[in-house]
Amino acid sequence: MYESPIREPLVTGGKTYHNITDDICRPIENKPSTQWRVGFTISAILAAIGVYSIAYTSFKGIGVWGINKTVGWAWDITNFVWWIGIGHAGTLISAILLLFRQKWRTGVNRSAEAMTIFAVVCAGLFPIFHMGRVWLAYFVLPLPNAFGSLWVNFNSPLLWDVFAISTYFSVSLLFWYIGLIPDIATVRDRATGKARKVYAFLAVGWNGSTRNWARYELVCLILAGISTPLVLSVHTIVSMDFATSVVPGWHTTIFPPYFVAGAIFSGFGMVLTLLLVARKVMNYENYITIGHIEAMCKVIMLTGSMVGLAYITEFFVAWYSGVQYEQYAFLNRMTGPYWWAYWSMMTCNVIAPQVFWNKWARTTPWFVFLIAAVVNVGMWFERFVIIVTSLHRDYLPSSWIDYSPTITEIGIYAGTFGIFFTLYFLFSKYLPVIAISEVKSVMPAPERHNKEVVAH
Amino acid sequence: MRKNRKFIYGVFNHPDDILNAAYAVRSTRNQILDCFTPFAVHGLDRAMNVKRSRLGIVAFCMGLTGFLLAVSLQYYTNVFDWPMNIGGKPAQLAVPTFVPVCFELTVLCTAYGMGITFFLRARTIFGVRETVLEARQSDDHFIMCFDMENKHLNIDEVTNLMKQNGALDVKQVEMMAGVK
Repeated sequence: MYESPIREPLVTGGKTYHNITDDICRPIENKPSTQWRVGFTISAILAAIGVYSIAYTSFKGIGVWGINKTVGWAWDITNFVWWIGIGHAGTLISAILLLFRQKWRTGVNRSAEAMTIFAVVCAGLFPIFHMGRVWLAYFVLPLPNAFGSLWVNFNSPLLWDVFAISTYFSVSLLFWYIGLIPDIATVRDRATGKARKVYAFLAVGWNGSTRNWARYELVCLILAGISTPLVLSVHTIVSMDFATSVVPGWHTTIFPPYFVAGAIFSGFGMVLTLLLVARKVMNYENYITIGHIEAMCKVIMLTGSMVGLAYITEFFVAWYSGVQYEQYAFLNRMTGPYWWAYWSMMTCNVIAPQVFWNKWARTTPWFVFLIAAVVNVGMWFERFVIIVTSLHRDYLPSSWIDYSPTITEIGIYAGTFGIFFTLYFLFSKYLPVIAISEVKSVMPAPERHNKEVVAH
Repeated sequence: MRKNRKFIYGVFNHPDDILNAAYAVRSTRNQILDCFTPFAVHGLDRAMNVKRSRLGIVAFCMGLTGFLLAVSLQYYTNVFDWPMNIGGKPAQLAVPTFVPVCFELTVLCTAYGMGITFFLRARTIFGVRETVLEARQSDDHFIMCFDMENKHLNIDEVTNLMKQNGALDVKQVEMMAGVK
């Protein structure tokens, strides 16, 4: 492997191939730590609260939520868009950065992809349970409606969303699993007893044959190639749920790129939040180096600036269009009853990430963690602002109403955190958190003993 | 019925060594059965004269299938079986609004069609027993394996070539294996 004299190595600490295998398999082979047990228990309790809240909603109907005739979408769709957006960073790292040959992605892609899958699971819950009569959820599938003669309407972005989200989930899962196979085989070859049988089953007989590696690399490349437009299409279609309506503040053509940038922005916020903790707790500082963190901070700064530009453009266009309803919608966002949400969004998403122009800010883990958390909060507020402030004062002033969530809605949102982190804790205990084979292929090869490389 | 087969294999600990050995073997009449490495050693497939995988063609065909499936699904449901009445306009292939579903189904069919073909072709299927020559082949060792029943194989020659190129060890083994 050629070592550049300028670029910093992607794996530090003078690791050998065997060290890498040892380091990354250690959490799987050892008993879970106390920190893991505590974290897992808290997550499982939160998940249980979520399951209870969801069950309560299903039995009672969505009247137990704070939504009403005017504000028909609120926390549920806010949370749906927020979670879907978080998922986008995983695909960006695993697919887009693969096409751009950004080798640093190998240290973080596995856990970012896992995050994608778990986030999409959480996101999917919201529209499904927003349906109210969830046992009729199969109505969104292209079946003759009620098994009569009417079909689903392919002119509706809500239906496109069904196809987009389910395709996104399925393809991400396949991509993640194919990427995992060689590493599961590594775990299998070290394991004994019952664990060996489980990992042998999951490793589907992988033996690292060169023919299979050639196929594997081609499959990963093509999957990356199709996942790249896929990830962009997903949030584009999510934004069309809004943009194709005639609600002031939603009916804008800027929505698709603006939502995609926002999704990547919030996704990297979450990746950093998770990985900064993981690298510390699991001692992976040599694999997820300061260089990795810095690269991700730059992505946050770029996408944060794009989001900021979109906010200002949106604002300008509302004024320039001369449409009074549009102008009021934006004025109401800034100065209306939800002004605090609007200004939280502005502060967290536009101002906060600008600190990453400073190198110290990008390379100081605790500070990055703080900004990443702020970004997560800001992007949640962005969706809340777009959804609730546009709806709560509609065309008919007699229907104007305020919205606040009920305890059940809060319970479901907290519950999705529980589900997300429960899955993440299980993943970090039972599967290799870092792509072992990929990291080995980008690190400098071990020192050889007085031999020469033959040029081919 | 599977029977025991005899293999001879060399163990390397550096990707460049196995690459050099593969090129050295290529200039003789011996044929490498397969190499087993912990990660994709770029160039090794070329050194072994492995043909380029045709999975890309599979992916294209599957994608086309998905696209046609989406077009026919939307045409059948929204134009043919129950024509959509939008402002009394004639029901026809509403191209712009059919694009997203066409795209999604194309991607879905490409990914799963190619993925499943990959699993079948690479013989990596749930329940397949792995044929692992050395446990460390998925850790830090690189294995180059020859089939001893191959008539053209000159055992002394390949042993020497592997040793000259830095093989830590050359071993012979008789095992039940589906290695091809």
